[in-house]
Amino acid sequence: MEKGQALPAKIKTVWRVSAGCSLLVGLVVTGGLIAATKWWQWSPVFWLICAGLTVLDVAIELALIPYRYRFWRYQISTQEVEIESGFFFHQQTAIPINRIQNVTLEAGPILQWQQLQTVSIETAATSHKIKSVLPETASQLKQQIMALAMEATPYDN
Amino acid sequence: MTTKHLHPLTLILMVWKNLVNIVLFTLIMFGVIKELHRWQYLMILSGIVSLAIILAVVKYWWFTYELDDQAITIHSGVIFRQQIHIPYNRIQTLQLKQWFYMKPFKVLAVSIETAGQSNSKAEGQLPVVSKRVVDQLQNRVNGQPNDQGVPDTPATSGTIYHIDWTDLNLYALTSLGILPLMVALGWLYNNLDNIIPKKWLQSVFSRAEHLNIIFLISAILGILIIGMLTSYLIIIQRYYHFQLTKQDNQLLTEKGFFQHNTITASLNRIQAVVIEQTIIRQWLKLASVQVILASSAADKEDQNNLVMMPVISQRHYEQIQPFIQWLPSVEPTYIRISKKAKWLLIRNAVVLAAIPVVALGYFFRPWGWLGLLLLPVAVGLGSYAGHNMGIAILSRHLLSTQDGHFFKRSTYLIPKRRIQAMTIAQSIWMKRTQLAHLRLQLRHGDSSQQVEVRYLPIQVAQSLYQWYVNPS
Repeated sequence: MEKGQALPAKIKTVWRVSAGCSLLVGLVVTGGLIAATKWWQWSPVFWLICAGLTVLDVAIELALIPYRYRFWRYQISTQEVEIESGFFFHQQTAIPINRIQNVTLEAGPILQWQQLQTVSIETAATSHKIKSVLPETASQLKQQIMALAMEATPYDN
Repeated sequence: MTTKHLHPLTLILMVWKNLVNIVLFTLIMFGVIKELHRWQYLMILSGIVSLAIILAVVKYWWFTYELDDQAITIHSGVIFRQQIHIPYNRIQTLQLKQWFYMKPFKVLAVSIETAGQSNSKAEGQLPVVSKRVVDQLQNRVNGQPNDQGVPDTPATSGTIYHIDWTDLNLYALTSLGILPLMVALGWLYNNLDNIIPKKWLQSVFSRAEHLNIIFLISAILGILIIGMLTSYLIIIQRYYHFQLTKQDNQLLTEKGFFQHNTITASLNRIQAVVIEQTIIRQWLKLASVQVILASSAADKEDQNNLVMMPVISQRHYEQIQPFIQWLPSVEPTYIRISKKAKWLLIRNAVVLAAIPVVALGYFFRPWGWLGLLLLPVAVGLGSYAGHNMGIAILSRHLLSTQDGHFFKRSTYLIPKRRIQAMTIAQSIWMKRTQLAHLRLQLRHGDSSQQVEVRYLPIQVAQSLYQWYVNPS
């Protein structure tokens, strides 16, 4: 554990914002249910449950941020990409470069605002995500992987 | 090369299919319109038949294919034109099907599969073509040297394996059981509460009811026997005259009575070999050998694997090795898991079973407590899994794993270059016991398959991980 590279620290902001979005959605739904309780005499149980779930979800999301950040590492060497995650459920995955079929870079609105990108690495069987990297790192990574993939002896699928 | 149409026999098949489709619709319509004269019926009928014929002719006319030097191109569709282009060296498997009624006409149905991740349908399909065209296609596919992939050792051509009758019989007999049994039990269960608690208990001494019970039991037995017989015959039919041949770099299987089925698969495209044994076959020292491919050509009944040998005796490695050279010729010795690990597997199975058992017992008293019978089964499943779990490194390029699920043992033989990714998973509780799960990802059909060896000692898991990561 802890040999590889951590995710960029900005990802914590992204996760906080996305927790905020969850809160917003939850509040809107709860508001709707409160309105329904008021005007159509729905049982108040609904909005109470919804509000409870929203609070719980956001709390868990926020609480997990340091954990997720702390226990998530990746490492790219000349031979393979390694991804390590989790403390309670620790997982260590190796994907040799010459098994990689394609690399995709993606960024949703929050990631774009923070100028981050998600890298997903696909083999013939599986897909692995590096949740976020800086754009320089992303394109560098992409080039590194593609170059290595070119060099590495190609195996037919 | 000019474009070609399918064999004219296709027309008859298409008309027949259309009629079946339309007739269902018409039958519904006739149910609605009742007040009609005979001539009106005839009019509608002839209208339907001619519609079916016209549709078939149009479809037939627009369906063409070309065999080029490099690729096969199939044009189809009337309103939405479709053009499929498949280079020969991309073909993973070639499947030929010949129903008994096609035999006199010397025609076949062809399915062409590539590694493309389309849905379950084959990428290229030619419903009816003549034998001559098929030969041409096969020659082109074989003649095309695989541009990538490893150069194989010069193949000893003419390696052949035939299934013999005793083997086939044993195979059919040992695959029996569960399904028809389940059907019969399901039927029994549905009728159970009608019969047993009320009537039976009240009138055990009534003769009429006795007769009823006898009738019931014989009906159940009858259903069981018929079910078993049909499944037996279906299997015999399917693997009738099964034959496996190795030609150059191709494996060729032939089988079937009503439908003669030929599958050609390239040896370079094999992802892994699986040897499967149900507990019954383990006792009888029998095994069935399958091949995992990167296309979904093979039978849906066999989880999309290509069945290489339906049933062979325990000393199977000697028999398989001539067909796939990288396999070991003797059975590997596996690193087995520890006593502690076996106990953990039993615990997991029991805990998993306990949830429905408790729920059943609580909600359906008193009969629900019969669910307790599941617990010993769970213990059995867990200890079976523990007993069969194992892993072995056979060479720098070859790995073998074994596991047991639901009283079926699967032995995987996997070349290193076919393992797409490897994961070591360890929960915090397993850290104390120094155990870890090892997961391998394989390409299987159109998707992926995970092979997992559970509760390995962490050192073993790590040495395997190193074996995988190290270039060789």
